[in-house]
Formats: sequence, C-alpha cells, structure tokens
Amino acid sequence: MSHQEPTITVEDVVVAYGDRLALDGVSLSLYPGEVVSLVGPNGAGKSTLLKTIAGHVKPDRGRVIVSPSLGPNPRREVVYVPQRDRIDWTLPASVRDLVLMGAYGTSSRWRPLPRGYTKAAMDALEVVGMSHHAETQIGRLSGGQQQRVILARALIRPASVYLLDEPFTGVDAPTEAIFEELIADLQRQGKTVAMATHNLECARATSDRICMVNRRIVALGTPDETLVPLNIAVAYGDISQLHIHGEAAHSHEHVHG
Amino acid sequence: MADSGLVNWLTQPWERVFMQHAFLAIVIVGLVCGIVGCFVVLRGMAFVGDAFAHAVFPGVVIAFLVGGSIFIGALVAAVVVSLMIGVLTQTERMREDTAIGVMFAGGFALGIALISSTRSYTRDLASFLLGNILGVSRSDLLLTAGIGALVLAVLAIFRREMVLITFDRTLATSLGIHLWRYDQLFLVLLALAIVTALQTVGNILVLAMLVTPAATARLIADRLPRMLILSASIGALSGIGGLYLSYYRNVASGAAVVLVATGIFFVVWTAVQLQGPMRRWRGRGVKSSVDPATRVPSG
Repeated sequence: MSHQEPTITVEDVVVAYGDRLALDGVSLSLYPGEVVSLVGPNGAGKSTLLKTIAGHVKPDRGRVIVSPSLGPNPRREVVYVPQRDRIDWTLPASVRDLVLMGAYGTSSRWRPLPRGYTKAAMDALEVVGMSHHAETQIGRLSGGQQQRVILARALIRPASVYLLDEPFTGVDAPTEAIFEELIADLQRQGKTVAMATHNLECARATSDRICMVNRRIVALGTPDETLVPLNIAVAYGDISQLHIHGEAAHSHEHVHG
Repeated sequence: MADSGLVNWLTQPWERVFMQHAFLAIVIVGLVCGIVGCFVVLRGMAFVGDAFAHAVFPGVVIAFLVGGSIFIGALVAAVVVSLMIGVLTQTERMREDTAIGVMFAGGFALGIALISSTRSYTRDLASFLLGNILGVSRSDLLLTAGIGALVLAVLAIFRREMVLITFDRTLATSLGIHLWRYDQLFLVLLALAIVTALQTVGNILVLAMLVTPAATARLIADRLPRMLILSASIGALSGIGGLYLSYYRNVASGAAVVLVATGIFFVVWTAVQLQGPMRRWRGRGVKSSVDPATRVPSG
C-alpha cells in the first residue's frame, strides 16, 4: 500500500479541549482502497481524530493533508458519518428527507434538488436495507435503523474518503453484517474508510489495518500485529477492565466485585 | 336571514379602514412569525425568542425618541445583543442561557429607563408592551409587508442551510456550512419577525406568535413543509379570530390574538391526546359489530 499516494496524511496532530489533551502528536496516513479501524478506550481521541481529519476540529498543532489528487475540491471528497446521537430524531422528517439532506450543498440553491437525488436516496436506502422505510417518520426508527439511515445519507453523494464514527454501536447482528458488506464494497471501489469502533471483532473482520489510540498511537498495523494482549493492555491502560481470551483479543468494561 | 346576519357579522369590522389595516397586518405577522417560529420551536429556542423580544426594546425606544425607524432601531439592538451574548459566552464560566438572561433583563430595563424619561411615558410604554394594532397606518402596513416578505425570501433562499443547522449541525459542518454565520443570520431574521409583530401584539406577547402556532403545528405535522404551512395558517387564523374577538367583545387586541392561538393549541393538544383512546375504543366497536358471536351476553 505504501507505494500509493495517501489520500489523507495526518502530521503530528495535537488537539486539546481546554487543558485536557485529546490527541498528542498523532501521525497517520490513509490510502485508497484500505479500511483502517481506530480502537481505544472511551476518551482516547478516536472521534476527535476523525473530526480533525474531516476538518470539524482545528488541530492546535500539526496538520491534516487531503490529497489534491481527489479532485478540484478535495475536502468535499471526505464524508464524516457521525454517531447517531448527534442527530435530533424527534424532528419532523421522513427517512428519505433525512437521507436527501446529505445532498444539500451539491446543487444550486435557486432550484429544487435534482430528481436524480431522490433515486440516489432510494438506492442508498436499498443498500442498507431500509428502502421500505423511506416514508417512515425518523422518530419511529430503532437505534440500529437510525445508524443505517445515517450511513445511507453518507452514500448519497460520491466521495473518496468515509470517516465512520462508531458505526457498530448499538446495532443488531443483521445490521452489523450489512455494514461489514458495505465497508467491503467501498473498499472494492477504491475508497478510503476509517472508522472509530469499540467492537474489536468487527474491526478485525473488516480492517486492513488497526490503529490503536490512547491520545497517542499505541500500535498501528494489521489486525494480527495490533490486536495482541500487550498492545490492548497499554492502550486501555487499566488492565483490570480487560478480558483477553487467548488468541481472540476481546475487551469490554465490566465491574469487578 | 341567519346567513345574512353571519355575513354582516363577518364583514362589519372590515368596513373601517383602520380595521382593514389591522386585519392585513395581523395576517402578515401570523404568517411570518408562524414560519420563523417553526425553526424557533424545533431548535428549542423559545427562551432565545423571548429574550430577543425584550432585548430589542431599547433599540425600539431609542428609535422612537429620536424619531427614527423602529425597525432599524430593533435590528441594531438585536445585532448588538446577539454579539454581546457571543462575547459573554467566550468565558468558560458563562453558559449561553445565562448570558441571554443577563442581556435580556438588562436590555428591557434600559428600554423602560429611556422611555420613562418621556412625558407620555405610560401611554408610550403601554403601546410598546401591549401593541397598538388599531393604529397601523398605511405606511406601517407597507413596511410590515416589506419586512415580512424579506424575511420569508431570505428563509426560502437559505432554506437548506436553515434546515441543516436545525436538524444536524455535524452534517452542516461537513458540507462546509459556516454555523456561526447562519446562526447570526437566523437571529437577524428572528429580530425582524419580532419587530413586525411589535406594533400588532406588543413586546410582551410577541413570543406567543412565534411559539404557539408552531408548537400547535408540531403536534400534528410529521414533516417540516407541512409544519411550516400549518404553523403559518394557524398564526394567520389566530390573528383574524383574535381581531373579531377584540372587535365584538372589546378585548385588548394583542391579548385576544394570543388567546385564540392558545385556545387552538389546547384544542389540538386535547384532540391528539384523545386520539389513542378513541382509536382503541373504535377498534373494539368494529370488532364487536363484525363478530356478534363474541359479544358478551348482557343480563
């Protein structure tokens, strides 16, 4: 992969919220056609790293370079898919309305959205298995369905880099399978996918590389290189909160009595 | 006979020019505030709307005292207050609602202090606070229509940005929409909507025109376009109903308009609350008529 030009280059990025360091000297390159999972404990800076790449958070030091080869406006080729709690699901909109919002800003404000986008919205909903819910009020969706709709919204306009923030959180097994297939499909199309996740098994199944983060990069490499007990223990800090079962690295927080 | 009586009852207020102006002005205010109010309600900005209505007061009073346009006075005050809130919330210890609270009370007090220096203090103050819809002149009406049209036109042009900063600010940022700029634009539109309503319903009750029709529409609309149309219609209808009430029952016009809007809200709210039990009751009735064998024998 290293012979290709990276689509995204993160150079020595530092981000602080007040006096709390969220990222401390993070450098990372993302390449076309690869899937990279960012894993680490809560507050490790995974979402912050994605938001910094997306340009939502301005680094206090360092920089993010989006390859100019992506097009005349490279920044627009980067799509950030937020956690579902970032959206107010009680607002009056149908699933299709919400997906169509992903196409706002792509056409003239003086005309209605081109009809092609309605078809694109239905196609995107079809991909995530939600086309039969196109007219459903968004407030009636389950958590997993909400996550599928957010992902469909990201697919409505063409892009080269997809940044997925916790896509597997709170989704059921069928949704997980749809997402894994979708991520594999994006990869086949030569897209770059970076996702923050707590689900180490999904990370292992879908990713070319795993970046273990805890404010700094603790480990970066193939799943087999990265998901080893020592790295997990270092990244997650508190070993008492880990379950490591032999070969299959696996972690979740639990209460010790 | 009864029909002609009703027609007379409906047309009589329209025979007077000042009532024609009043009807037209309140319909414009109902439409404009109904539409702007949808975004106020959906963004949870009822407190901001109330605060703005009070905070523009000193601008209105200064404009009145120097003989300038109250629209311009209110607009300048709104921009100053909005910027002040922005500056105050730069301090980590100051939440936005606190800053708004400080500015709104301070601004309102400044307005009262300024107007209390005039000789016709009580009358002027009452006119600002409670509105004076029967005093709407032709030029006031044209100005209200012009500003209302401007507000609606700007909202229509920037509809996608307004929808995105309401529904999903993260997506808005992703699409390169400058949140601060559009938040400020919305506050200016809000200030203008408030100013159009100042003369008709007054400073104290303007919030009702922004919030009540939109809140009523939200109870029954599942889509934003429907909510906008319903809210504007309820706003205009409340205005017309309130003016009839005011005309025939000799009630203060601003209060009458707001009471009609509040009445519509409670009727709709009750209907929505009763919808579930009614549906269950009707479902039971249908079942029993389809299958009489399942009826429990009486006696």
